[in-house]
Amino acid sequence: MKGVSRRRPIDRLNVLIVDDDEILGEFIALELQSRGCSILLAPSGEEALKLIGEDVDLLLTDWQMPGMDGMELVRRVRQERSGESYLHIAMMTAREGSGAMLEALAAGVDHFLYKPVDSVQLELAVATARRNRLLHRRLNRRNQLLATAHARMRKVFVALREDLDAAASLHERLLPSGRIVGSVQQVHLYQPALSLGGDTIGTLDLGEGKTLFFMIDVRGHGVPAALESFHLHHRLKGFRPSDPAELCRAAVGLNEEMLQRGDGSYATMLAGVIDAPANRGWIVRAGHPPPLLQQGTAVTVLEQGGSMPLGWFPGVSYAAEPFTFGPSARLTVYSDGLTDCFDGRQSGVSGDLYLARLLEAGAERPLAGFVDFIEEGLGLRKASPHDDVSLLALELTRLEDSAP
Amino acid sequence: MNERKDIFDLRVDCERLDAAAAPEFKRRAQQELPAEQKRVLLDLDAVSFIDSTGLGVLVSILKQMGPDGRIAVIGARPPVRRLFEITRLDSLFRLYGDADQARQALAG
Repeated sequence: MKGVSRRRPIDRLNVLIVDDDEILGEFIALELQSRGCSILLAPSGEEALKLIGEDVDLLLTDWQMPGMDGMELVRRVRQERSGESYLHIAMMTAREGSGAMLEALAAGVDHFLYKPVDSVQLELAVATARRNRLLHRRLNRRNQLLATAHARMRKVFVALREDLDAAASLHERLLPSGRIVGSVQQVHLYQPALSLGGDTIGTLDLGEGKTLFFMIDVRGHGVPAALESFHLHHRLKGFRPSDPAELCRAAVGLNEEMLQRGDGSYATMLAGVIDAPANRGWIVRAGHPPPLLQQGTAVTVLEQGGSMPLGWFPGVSYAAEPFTFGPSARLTVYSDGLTDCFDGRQSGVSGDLYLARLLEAGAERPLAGFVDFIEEGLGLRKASPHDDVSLLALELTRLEDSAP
Repeated sequence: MNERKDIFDLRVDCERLDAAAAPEFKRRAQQELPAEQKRVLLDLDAVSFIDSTGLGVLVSILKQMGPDGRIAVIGARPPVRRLFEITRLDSLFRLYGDADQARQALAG
């Protein structure tokens, strides 16, 4: 019948007795049979090796025998026996020296019976073997159960891992692709703390020289934060805000939508539009770190008009902050994970300030190498960030960028 | 309705109010904060870092106190102060230099 295994009665002990003294062997066999044991008898070590199988629970052997002695038999048996089945080995001996006894222990003897062997010693050997066999079988059963549970968990884990990898891949496909979007050059850095991040970065060509850009950082990490950021990314692109008023309306709309869900989730967001022909842009900031606008070595923090994160309170209004964005300007947007992983305790400088100084130092570097420069400067490659790390840097395209 | 306008002292004891510590602080605050409590003095002196989860917990405590609830913060270190400014939480959680100033403001 499937699922039902045949088991021997738990208290029956299979004993192999090895003794070149046939009378003594028979005496022990009779004694043990009366204690519920099944007996095999071997007159020598060589014969014992042929007889012993995995079902023998107790090997009771004489030490001194012609040919293979008890010590050699024990060594051979221990070598050949698998670790799965339990075998208790008792050695019968006249009083040996302590060195020989220790040698026997090392060879694999569990128990000694001293000659003349009496019924009490046999009783002790059988009781010990029976108890140890019971413990060994329980341990084996538990190990089997654990192995089965582990295999099931492993299967679930592998399936989950594959799902997570697929989700992470989908999530990352939302990130800006290509070097140019509309009239803007773009580079970005995206490093989630877990396989799935709550940060998202987006850019969208709105036509007529306008480009939408944004960064959203949803509270927490992992799957819930990633799903929320995935949703907000698409919602914001769906709004397609292309001027200051539309940016504000989009922020108000997302705030109300998050509040309506009532799940306590919230997000910081920076969204902006660059109007390349007019050399200008606007940003709306909802609890997000202010971006850095760079003109040569002069770095300005765009921190006017910021408001609260999305999803905290109803009725929050958002204001769009204008900025001038000429051909030599660079705008750097980042999440707090970027500056939080900078340890400023030694330099006594905050991450924000350090980043601004880094930008000043790297003013001459082209946009193409900008991410590497920031990673190097903030020590991001050595750090294992606790938070998602995101950065987006934008410049207007130049004539040579548009050339085929 | 028995609104409590006396001042309840709430202190954050951990150095990092982050995803690991914030849920425990939230549980403690919810347990200890009397019902209808409307004035809280929040001591952040021990805190050097607050992440988004920690910030969410502070907002949830304010929401728990209802529309008339007021929280005054003391001991905010520069990074924490900066976070309150960026998220404009400083418009709801007033930051004060010492406890006397904060108590006076809450009592007023």
